[in-house]
Amino acid sequence: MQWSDNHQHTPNDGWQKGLQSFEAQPNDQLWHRIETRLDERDQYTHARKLTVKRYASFASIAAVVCLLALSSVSFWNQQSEQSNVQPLATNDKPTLQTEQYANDVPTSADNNSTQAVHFQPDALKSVNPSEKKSAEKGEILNPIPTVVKGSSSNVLKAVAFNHTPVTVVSAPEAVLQPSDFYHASLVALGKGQYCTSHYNITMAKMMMCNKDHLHYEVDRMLRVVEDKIASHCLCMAEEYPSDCE
Amino acid sequence: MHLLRERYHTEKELIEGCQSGKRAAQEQLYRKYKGMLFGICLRYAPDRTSAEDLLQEGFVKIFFRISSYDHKGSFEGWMKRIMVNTALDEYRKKNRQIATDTFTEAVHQDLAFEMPAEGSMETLVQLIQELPDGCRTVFNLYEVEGYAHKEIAEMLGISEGASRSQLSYAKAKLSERLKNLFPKTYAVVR
Repeated sequence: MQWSDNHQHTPNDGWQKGLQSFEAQPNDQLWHRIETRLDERDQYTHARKLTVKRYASFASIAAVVCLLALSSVSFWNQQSEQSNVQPLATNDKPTLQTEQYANDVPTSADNNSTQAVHFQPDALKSVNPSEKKSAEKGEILNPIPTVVKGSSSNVLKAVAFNHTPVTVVSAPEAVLQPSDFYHASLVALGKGQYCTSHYNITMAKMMMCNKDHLHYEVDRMLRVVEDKIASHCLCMAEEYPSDCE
Repeated sequence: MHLLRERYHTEKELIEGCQSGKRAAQEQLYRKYKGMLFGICLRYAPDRTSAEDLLQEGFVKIFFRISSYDHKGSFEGWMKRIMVNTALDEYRKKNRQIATDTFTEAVHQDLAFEMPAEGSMETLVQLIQELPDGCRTVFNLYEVEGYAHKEIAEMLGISEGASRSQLSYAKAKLSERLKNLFPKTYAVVR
């Protein structure tokens, strides 16, 4: 016999309809059992909502704390970076070492702590940083060379060569230009390794600060440059970028 | 007699009350539909106690899921489907596998039976409860809910042939029992 009832059919017989509409009454206590299950579910749902709320609050607090911590770390980092370039507000008046200049070239020093350095670029062709004598000119390089207005490139070459600190000297009326130090630090960093914009910012800020503190600030800046020189072992005095010449 | 004052006068209000989780609405819904849904449970369960367990479980599911009822289609039909599915879930838990080769091909006969006039629905339901689980489930799904064998096979994870065999066996068993109970008026095979 073929089975063809693969489609849904509608029960039409009397007993089928009777079964469809058949009703009966359960135990009276059944509602209380259902109610208990619903109460348990409501308590669970309430407890879960409470737990979620607690976790959410904790997560919010933790996020705020982390954000504050990160902000403070970032702030202090910025502060410490800026402290290298910020002009110090001190009441100390650094002593300016003065020189007499003729034609923008240092002549002699009547200061017992510094001497003007006069040397030709050719004198620094040697790559040995320990050499104290110019090979060609016979000039003896002062162990503490100075920077003089207009001759910053010369002195910074000396810095590269001798790895010694540099003292900035300026005439009372002289106004150091940012470009002086920019070029100086370009030279100091040597071969192909130019200073970063950090120094440019430093120059601009220094020009804006009290000129009485200029000496101190430049000295500190140049110490930074010296550290850079030392870390990069820069001694190729003749290999300066062309724009510094 | 339960003296519950009906607070919700329309089905929509009653459903919305249940969706809001109002216990009074839930109780009113239970008392209104428990008879109809218990009748379904009695057909699928082997005894009254199991039927009450099914009813409890089914109503809990109805209240948990009522928020998803979108007022499209019959609410009674929605509840009946939940109750039948609850019964099927319970059946699947108890019977992981129905024996598909229990009955021979000879049992595949389009048996029909008629309910004797003196027989009551309560008697028929009791006889249905005496059937084996598989047979009872297939019988209900096919003869009362109106599912096709292909659908029943998918729902229960059996073959169509097994569904037909189970139905045939159920009808044969019911006919035999009715014949024993009402020997004078019962007509079996056509």
